[in-house]
Amino acid sequence: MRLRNSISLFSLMIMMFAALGCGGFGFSKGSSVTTLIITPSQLAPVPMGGSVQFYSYEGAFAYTNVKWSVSPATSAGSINQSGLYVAPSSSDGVPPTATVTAQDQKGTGIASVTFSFASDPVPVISSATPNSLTPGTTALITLNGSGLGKVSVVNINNEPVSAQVLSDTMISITYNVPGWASSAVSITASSPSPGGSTSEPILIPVTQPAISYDAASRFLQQAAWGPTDATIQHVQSVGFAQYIDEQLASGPDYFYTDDDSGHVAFNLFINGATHDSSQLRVKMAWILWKLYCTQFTTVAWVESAVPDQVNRDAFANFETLLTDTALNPQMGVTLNYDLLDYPTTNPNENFGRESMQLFTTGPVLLNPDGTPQTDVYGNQVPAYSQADVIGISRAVTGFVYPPNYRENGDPHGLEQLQSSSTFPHDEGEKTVLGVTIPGNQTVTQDTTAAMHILASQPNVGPFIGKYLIHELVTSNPSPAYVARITAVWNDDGNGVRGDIPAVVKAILLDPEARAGDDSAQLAENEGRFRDPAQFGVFFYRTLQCIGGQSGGEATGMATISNEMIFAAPSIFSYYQQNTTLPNSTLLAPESQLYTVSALEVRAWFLYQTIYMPAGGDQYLSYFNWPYWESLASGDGSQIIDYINHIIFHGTMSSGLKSLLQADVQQISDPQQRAQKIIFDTFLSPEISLQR
Amino acid sequence: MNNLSRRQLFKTMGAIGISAALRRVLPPAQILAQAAPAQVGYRALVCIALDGGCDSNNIIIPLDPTQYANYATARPDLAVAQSSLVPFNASSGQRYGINPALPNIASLIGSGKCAVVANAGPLSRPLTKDAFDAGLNVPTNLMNHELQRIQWGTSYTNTSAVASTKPGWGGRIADALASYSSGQYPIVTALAGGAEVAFCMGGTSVPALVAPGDPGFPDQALASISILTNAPAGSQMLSAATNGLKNALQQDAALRNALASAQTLKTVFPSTSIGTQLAEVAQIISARGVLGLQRQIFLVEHGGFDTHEQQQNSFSTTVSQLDAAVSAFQSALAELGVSDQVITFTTSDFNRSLLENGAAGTDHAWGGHQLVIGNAVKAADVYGTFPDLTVNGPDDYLGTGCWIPTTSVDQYGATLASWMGVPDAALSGIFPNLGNFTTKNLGFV
Repeated sequence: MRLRNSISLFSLMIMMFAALGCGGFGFSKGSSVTTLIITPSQLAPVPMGGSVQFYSYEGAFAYTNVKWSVSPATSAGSINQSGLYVAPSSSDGVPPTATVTAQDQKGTGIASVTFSFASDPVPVISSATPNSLTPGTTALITLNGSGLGKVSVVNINNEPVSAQVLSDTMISITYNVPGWASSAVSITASSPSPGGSTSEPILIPVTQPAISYDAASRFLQQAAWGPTDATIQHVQSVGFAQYIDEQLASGPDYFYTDDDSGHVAFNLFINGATHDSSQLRVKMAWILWKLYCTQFTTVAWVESAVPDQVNRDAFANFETLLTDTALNPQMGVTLNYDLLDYPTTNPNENFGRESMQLFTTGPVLLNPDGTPQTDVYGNQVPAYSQADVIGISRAVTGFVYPPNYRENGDPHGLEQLQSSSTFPHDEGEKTVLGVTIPGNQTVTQDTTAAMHILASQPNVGPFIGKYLIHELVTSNPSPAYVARITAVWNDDGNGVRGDIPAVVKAILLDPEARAGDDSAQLAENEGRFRDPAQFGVFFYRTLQCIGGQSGGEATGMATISNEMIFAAPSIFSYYQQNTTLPNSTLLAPESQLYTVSALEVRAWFLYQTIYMPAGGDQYLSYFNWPYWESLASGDGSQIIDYINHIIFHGTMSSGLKSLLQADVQQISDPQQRAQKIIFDTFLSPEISLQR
Repeated sequence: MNNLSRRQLFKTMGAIGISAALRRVLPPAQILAQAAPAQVGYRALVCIALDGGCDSNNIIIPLDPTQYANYATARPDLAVAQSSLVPFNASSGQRYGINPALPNIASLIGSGKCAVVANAGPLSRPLTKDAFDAGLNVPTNLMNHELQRIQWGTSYTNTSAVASTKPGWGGRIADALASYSSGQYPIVTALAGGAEVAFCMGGTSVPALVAPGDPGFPDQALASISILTNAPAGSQMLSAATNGLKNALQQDAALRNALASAQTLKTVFPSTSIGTQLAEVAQIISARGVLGLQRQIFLVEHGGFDTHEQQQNSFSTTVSQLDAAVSAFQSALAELGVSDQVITFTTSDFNRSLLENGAAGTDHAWGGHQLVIGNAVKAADVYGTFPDLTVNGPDDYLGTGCWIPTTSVDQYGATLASWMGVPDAALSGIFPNLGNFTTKNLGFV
């Protein structure tokens, strides 16, 4: 073997070993290394959140005295000093590539690897159909776009909806457009982490109805006992005026029914909560009856006579209502002119006084705008004198009951008091408010004449008109509003005075009544306190709670709140129309009933109705719980929205909303959640106000 | 009343009527601040509102032959027989009789613990019949139940029929005596509802509005109500609703807590409404220490007095119910050891016509006789001026035996307020008409 060949072979071996990075061939440790390499040196795109273990070598040998880093420093993930790299978890903000670098700590060697990331495509919604949505309908929405294949969540107005991903370019959504949906909905599609992202939103306009859900809901708290979904839709469809006309066309919806065992009071709640076509009739009957406030008596079955007679005459002319009431035996008993009022000396003054003070003129003269007239010294002016009281008292002397009253004939007791040849009547001439009633007439003729005089007084329009505004819309109408209603009272457009239907329609359609339909225009102290009976009917109706002998619990609540149905403590009604808030000039008549007792029994009424099972007790009402459970399931936004719009026409306070959201967080069972939400809503201070 | 002549003569009366009407100033704060409490220890007033207009003509009847004859002639069906009346002597030398349906009241008069304040009513200044006929200084809305109750409760005589905004003298007394309360419970408690509650509303204080047998709030509602009533103040209407609920919760808890530790009373009260209310008053008085109150004012109500027809069928029963309840109440006060410290007094919408009407009933009138009951009564006497019971006589403004009052609500109330410790200097601020009367303290307590 020649020597030259052997030396070459040895050199080759050294170079080979160096290239392979093997150690242990006798190289000393202190030698500098010029070749630093990283493995892996090439990698496939790293998925979001994924990790890669890098190694560093000098030549063939592992070399760990390096500093690891990755760049860009803040957005490309992280690497620890063992070489373990972790990619960012989300593709948001991730750079197109990242570079991992190992730097020799002893020498100048440096090695890098550059790689890219694997993320899901960003979903893009390029178009949506249909091109508008209608509130209160179920819409089939189709999203078109790209990168939709991995979408897992579709949100409409930041709430998830059920959606079907049909392909990378199409998603289908079934969406119940809420009745109160605002001007547009915003839709986004999101693919999941890691690596997912959210599309830019697409907007679909929502066609706004002429009457919004909230406006209809608010209107139905004035014109009816409360809104339901069906009646809201109906009002939106036909408009306010036609709704009122339909209601005015309904016939009597009597409180007394043959099979109700005399529970006339219950029927206020049952008729009010469930009879859609006679909402306004039943409401006006209650409002007008509170003018008369006849009392329970022991004369057979008369406790419903005036309530039912007012129910029948609720849409008659005011003078008809007044005269029929004056001739009703229950009124005769209540104001002591039914029998035995011998006319020879001093007829009793009860009806004589109250027929003016309470039923027609009121105690003081009013301007057409409802403000009291004053004399030059600023004093209010009485509307009638003692002589007028005497005149009317003399007119109603000598009535008798109709024969066989209540025993046959009209079950509602609407037969009238009659004249009699046996009981004397004061037949002299009488003067009432400057008008003479001629002598030698019967008691019926005299009474009718006296009621005509009273109904003709200019004071009646502002006195009764303002009362009706108080009961239907607001305790503090502007004088201009009252004046407009007085004008309709005085002439309904066809020359008729005292046309109650025309007046009620004018009250409800007046711009001041309708201004608050837009909550931005809702005046701060607009509205009125709900009286206990109204609170009970509103609760039953709007929450669709009915069953058993409904009205039992609410009747008890009203009684303990000093509003015993159809049995007022006196002729002076349950509360006074001139009651103000403490130390305020703001009128709030119904607030007189908001005593500690009344608030307590309200809470008990709510607790028992919402939480006690109905089975076995015929007096308990019950809820349609499956309906409420479906509303209450999910993240709770649906039931809170629904309550906000149907109960508060969009004006729910942030405090109440927070409490209801906390209820959602704390209670997962849908029925219990619904119960608590309803309970808290009706315990709130703001539910007391009809605004 | 002739409106035309009234308007004519207003021209001559100058601004007197206006200034009285406009003077609705509450006690100036500095006067109250300077006045140290006149007494220490506990005192209470209990106002019994006799609702409907109590025919006090039939409660206290003069035994003078002429007076009695006028009385009996005017109401043949309703007059109480002279021989059955329980007699007593007034300091004037006149003799009077109490309706026998009020035996306990009669007995209290006999033992010096009940006084009669004659012919009292809302009145802004002394009024003769001539002045009345001329329409001078006549209170508005006479013979109107609701507005007269408000005038009795506020002592303002020109109430607005349209908006009743003035605080009551019960509330105003509570305002003046605020330092007697630790602030945890109102001084004034109303167990009545309706227009008479005007008596209880203060300028700064609010009354507790309770009823016997209040059920309390269900436990399940307490947390939510507490959260909901801690909302920030909103509109006046919403604030009123919020504060009402908040006060109800706090007052109910405070009262329940106080009653739980209070002395149980052995006195048995009649089960009538007035009996039950006075039983509740006695219980609340027994809890006064825990409630932190050295002064209390209560309002209760007894009704059924609007006797337009067949008065003999109901009046005796109605007043005997009052009599029995008042008697039980006095026993309870003795049990509690506060007999000397509680005064019970009546008010009523109005008296009734002496002349009975064609239905054997009576109609609305004005000035009427009130009863003041308690150990602190100075002497059993008839205070003020008893009217001449002649129909169409000098005191009859209507011709049916309806009396112009000779004692005003202001004088009546100021006497009671003084006893409660309201300093003299503060009285005219609480009682706007007091300055128009010479006698500012009637002297019955």
